Amino acid sequence: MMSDPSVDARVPDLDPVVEQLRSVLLAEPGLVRLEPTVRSTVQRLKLTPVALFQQTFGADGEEPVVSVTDGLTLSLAGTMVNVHIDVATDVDHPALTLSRKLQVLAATTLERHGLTVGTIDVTILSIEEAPRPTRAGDPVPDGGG
Amino acid sequence: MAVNDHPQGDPPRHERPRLGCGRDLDEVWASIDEPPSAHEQHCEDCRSARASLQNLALITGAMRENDRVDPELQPGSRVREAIMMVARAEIRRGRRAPLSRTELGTIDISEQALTALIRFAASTLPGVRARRCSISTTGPGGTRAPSGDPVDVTDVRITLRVALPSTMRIPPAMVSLRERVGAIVRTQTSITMKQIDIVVEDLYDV
Amino acid sequence: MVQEHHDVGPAGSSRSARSEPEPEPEPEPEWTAEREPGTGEEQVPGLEDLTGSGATGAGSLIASTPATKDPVPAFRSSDSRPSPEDADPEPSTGTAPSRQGGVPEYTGPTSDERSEELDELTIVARAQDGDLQAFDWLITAYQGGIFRLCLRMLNDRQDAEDIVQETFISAWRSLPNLTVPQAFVPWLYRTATNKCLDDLRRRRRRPVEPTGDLGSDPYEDVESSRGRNAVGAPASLDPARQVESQAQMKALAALLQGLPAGPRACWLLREIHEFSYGEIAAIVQVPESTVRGRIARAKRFLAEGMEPWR
Repeated sequence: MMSDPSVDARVPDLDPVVEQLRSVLLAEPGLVRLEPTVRSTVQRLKLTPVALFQQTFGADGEEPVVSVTDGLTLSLAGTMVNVHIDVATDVDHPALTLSRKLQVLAATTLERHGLTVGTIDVTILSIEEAPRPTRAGDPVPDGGG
Repeated sequence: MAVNDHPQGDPPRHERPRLGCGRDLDEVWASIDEPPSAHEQHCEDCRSARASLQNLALITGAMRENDRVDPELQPGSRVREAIMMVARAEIRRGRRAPLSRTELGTIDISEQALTALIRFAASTLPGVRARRCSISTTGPGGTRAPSGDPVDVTDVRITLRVALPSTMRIPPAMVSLRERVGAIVRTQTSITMKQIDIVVEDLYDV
Repeated sequence: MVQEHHDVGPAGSSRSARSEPEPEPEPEPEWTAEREPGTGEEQVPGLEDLTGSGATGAGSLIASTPATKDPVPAFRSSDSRPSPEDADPEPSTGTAPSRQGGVPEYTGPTSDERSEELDELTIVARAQDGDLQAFDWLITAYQGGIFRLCLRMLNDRQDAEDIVQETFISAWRSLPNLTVPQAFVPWLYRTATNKCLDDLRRRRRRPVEPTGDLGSDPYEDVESSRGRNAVGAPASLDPARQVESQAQMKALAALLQGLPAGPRACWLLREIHEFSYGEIAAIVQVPESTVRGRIARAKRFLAEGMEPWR
């Protein structure tokens, strides 16, 4: 059912767009990562075809979701592409200001691909210190032993 | 073997393992590290039981120490990965606080990210250990908004629980804490909080 | 403008007007009634629920949890240097609060804290609020102990890993509702123990299931599955003693499989994981006198079984 030509015709191939969107966003200073959510995790776990179908085209009349990856959801509403971005940000950069920047970056990227921009929503899921070189697994310094 | 008389159920007290001399095995075990009592020195049952239990205690101790450090006795790394993947995926990001509506769309923050930010802000004061933080968007005495409702960003009231060093002077610390938390939340999110309650729930020694 | 609202209480008390009322003690959940992961929030019992009839007060649990539990790395220093994280997240000895022993640094949220030792209650509290880093720390601290309990209960690596996973996922979902953070560790052990007993009951109902079947010859059973399960291999002893000690531990591990599940759980919790009788009563939810009886029987069985090894 996934190869139904009428469906394929309706859905543009957004993979290159998603890929570029991801790299453009992640290049922005202050964005620590795009956050996985339940939806992207479920997607990654490879659902059964039926569930995947519902996931992809909406179970009950929702707008069809054409791409779900960690932190990025692209969906179609008519000819417009709506984007939802889930982010973890670096506390050194004000999260709200950064989110506005990300909206603009996303819009520009979509336009560059000739797509009509619908809404670009951003959800801040974490504000944290940027990753430091010392992390779990490194030798633990002696102290108090 | 004698102890298998009650393989699943638990025997009543009088049926607990007893030695020929009538002593409870537990009693013998309890004093296993002490020199044998007068009775134990002369009672054949107790002597033999002590030797047997000492042997077991020795091997048990070896097993206890060995197990702790044996790399074979650790779960594989996939276990943690699976747990964390689930935790990440369903992290309690239930409520959202809408921060801004731009011409491109909405920007919001999860309640969980907001409380984490508050803990972060509090912890920038040396010695402050931020614990739980809750957000209520109704006035004093009011009930907390249902979990599905968005946080009303014009009326954010928080309760933050902290542990402080026992040497810290609390009143000035409270002032700095409120300032710090208020300022960092405002910078990051533009939210100006209505009320910042701080509960010192623990003092720790330094 | 921030409205001043001084709710600062003395140490150990919280006088906030909105501090939560003491929860009703919940009915003791049956192990069978436990929900499957994914069905939503599970209620975590408060401490009163965990103490059972062995009724240790909150104070005793607070005091004993870091001191006596096998798996509390953060609150002990380690004499021996830690091995790599996954191999040894737990130091073996010492009492000074510290965060060494191969436990990953609890790094969040500030640089200040990184150089500071966080107490476990703070970490549990953060995990309760959904702090992933804090939760990850708790996994590191306790997965080894939980895994070893399950492994010795089930004698099957895969099953033990499954229960570790289920237990921590369940913990993640239950943490927000945990009213007494001190109850976290007993809660973990109780959940894991129940799942093990549940698993063993299910195995018994299955007609043909040689692995870990308590009805089979304990020696033969364990020996035959040893290669796969790798229960107990001593790490470091002088070579001469090592062979003997290894054989003894192997024998003890095998003998354990011959014990009924109830006494085995109690014995492990006491002798390997070093819980008090009261804590064990709370974990397995039987009266303390029953715990004592079970452990005494287990000891006798094991002591007699180990006679040839003297």
